[in-house]
Amino acid sequence: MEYTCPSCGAAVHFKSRATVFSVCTYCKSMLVRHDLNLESLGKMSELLEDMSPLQVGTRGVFERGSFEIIGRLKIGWPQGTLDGGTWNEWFLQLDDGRQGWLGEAQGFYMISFPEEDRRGVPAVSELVPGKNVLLLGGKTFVVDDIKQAQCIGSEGELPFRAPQGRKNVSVDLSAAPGSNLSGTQNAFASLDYSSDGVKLYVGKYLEFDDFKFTGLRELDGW
Amino acid sequence: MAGESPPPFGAKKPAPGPSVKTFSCPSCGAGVILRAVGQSISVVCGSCGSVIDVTNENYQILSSAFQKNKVIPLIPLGQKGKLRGETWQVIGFMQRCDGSELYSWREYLLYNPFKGFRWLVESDGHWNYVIMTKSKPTIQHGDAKFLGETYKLFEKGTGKVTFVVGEFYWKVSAGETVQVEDYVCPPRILSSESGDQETVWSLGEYLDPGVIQAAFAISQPMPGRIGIAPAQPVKSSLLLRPLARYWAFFLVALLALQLLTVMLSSNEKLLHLSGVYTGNDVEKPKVTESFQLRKGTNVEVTFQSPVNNNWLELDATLVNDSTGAQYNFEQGVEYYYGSDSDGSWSEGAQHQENVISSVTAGTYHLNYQIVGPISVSAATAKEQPYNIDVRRGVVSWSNFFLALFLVSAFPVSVWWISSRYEQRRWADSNSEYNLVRSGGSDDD
Repeated sequence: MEYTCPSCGAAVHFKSRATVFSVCTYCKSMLVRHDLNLESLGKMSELLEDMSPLQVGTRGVFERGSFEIIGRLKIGWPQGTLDGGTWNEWFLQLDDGRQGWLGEAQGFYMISFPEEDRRGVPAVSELVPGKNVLLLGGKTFVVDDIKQAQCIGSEGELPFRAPQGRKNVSVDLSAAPGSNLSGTQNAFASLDYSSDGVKLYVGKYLEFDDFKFTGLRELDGW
Repeated sequence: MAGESPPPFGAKKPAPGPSVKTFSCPSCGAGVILRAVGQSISVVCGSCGSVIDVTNENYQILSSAFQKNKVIPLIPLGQKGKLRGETWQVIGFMQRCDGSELYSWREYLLYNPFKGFRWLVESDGHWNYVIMTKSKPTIQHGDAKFLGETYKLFEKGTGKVTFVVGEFYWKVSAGETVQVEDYVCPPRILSSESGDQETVWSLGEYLDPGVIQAAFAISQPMPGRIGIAPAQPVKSSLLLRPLARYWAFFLVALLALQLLTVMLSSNEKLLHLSGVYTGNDVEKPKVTESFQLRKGTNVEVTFQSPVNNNWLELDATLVNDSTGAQYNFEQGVEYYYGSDSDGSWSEGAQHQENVISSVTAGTYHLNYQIVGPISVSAATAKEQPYNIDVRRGVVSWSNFFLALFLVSAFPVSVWWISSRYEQRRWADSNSEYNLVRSGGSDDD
């Protein structure tokens, strides 16, 4: 679907029907999609550079289908806690119509999909690293880390409003040792607590090569 | 715009990311290089040792110059090398020591923007190539079960940073200490590091120093290897498991074969002869009646006499009635006993078996003569009763034991060599489960 940026007049193209948010590639305005027009939430400051080989437009494969990266959230966790740093959440449009996320952090890649079955999702205050959580009707995950996260930038199109400064608590989980997750040593789950409520994503840790990426960014010296 | 399709989103190629970023150390002004841009959280200035926050461009100093003794990394920062088909660049280096502060090891952080991070860990000249893993083992009684393998607890201890330079994906800090546990299944080592917040697991694989030297074009000699490293593969140990399987297979086959032989053996009695050796004159040779061997077989002759401090011998020939083929043999019994300063003693036996293997079918008889001590005086002559039994198709156990020895000699030698190596390896372990494993070795 075609729109025009209310700020600079450039064409803004939405690939997915499910996305409501986009960043103008030309003027970096943060845009919210309404029925017929776009609303600007102001300009986004320049994204911090990173060495990620992924970019909006990169294609990859997962299981029997393929996907295209259509958006990105750059998340930071503020200083003052034990650590500080950033990671990328790439928004995926799959060819079968589904949407998913590809997390990229410290050289780990995790692909995940929104999960409607939120049985057993605890309150954020109950979580500590190392704690076991029963999700999806009795599958054992363990909390790996909990981060007070903040959106420090975004690009492309996204399924929710992701202005800079959007805050959430991000909890990463993986298969608990000896867990009953069938054949999934590399299971991954993520809980996202924000003012919008709680969201659960479930998927897998995979290696870079597993995705058979095309359309990667060129990195000098590599 | 109408009628013209807009360029697809994202088709506009963004400028390639920078390969490296350089800035001046806010403390000493020396040039600092940032290679994993956007991934590294902190950089330690190679000149003054200040730890600099690189999560934004304010380059705030987190801590200053805590390092007293500078360590020169064997592989310089920025060096690229190819390991396992991938190019890796050394971006960070640290030296850590254990709780005693006597033992130290060195860790190189490797980076590839596509594949993430790896570690090279060197201790006592031994190298492990390490990858972080999100899969976690199941721990029970000092064993870690991981991806279908059992890793044995080798060591529990602490790791404290004593020197650090370069960039890292966390905030390195002076004297940072973590709890370390190592589990081994050579050539692999599974390690956990626990800080205040979380436990991180990693999987290492032992690499030959030559591989590291070639990969990173190191011109200096590699540090010499000391002892047997926890994850060092020992050929005899690696051979042990498949060998044990073959051995078990052959053993079962051998036993089955012997059992079959026992079950199928005819063990048929051909002759029973008995007589008394008078002991006062040379016995005359005797000839037995003929007997049939319907098919090729072995023939066992048992010679028995209740000799006491005496001996008796059977000299015999098995003769084929029609062809005249001969099988000569002699067998004797002797039995002596007595007592001396060490107590009572005895030696010898009152019966002896002799097996003639592969006797062809036919009609046979036995020519035999009993030989024994001869006394000239009839008064001192000892009479000796004797029995001769001739059987065919008897089970030979000597072949079985020979085969058993041949099948076992190599596995047992390998096991012995392996256990010597393993004792050296486990001598350095502080696992409380280790005592059981190394057979109570207490040379620590």
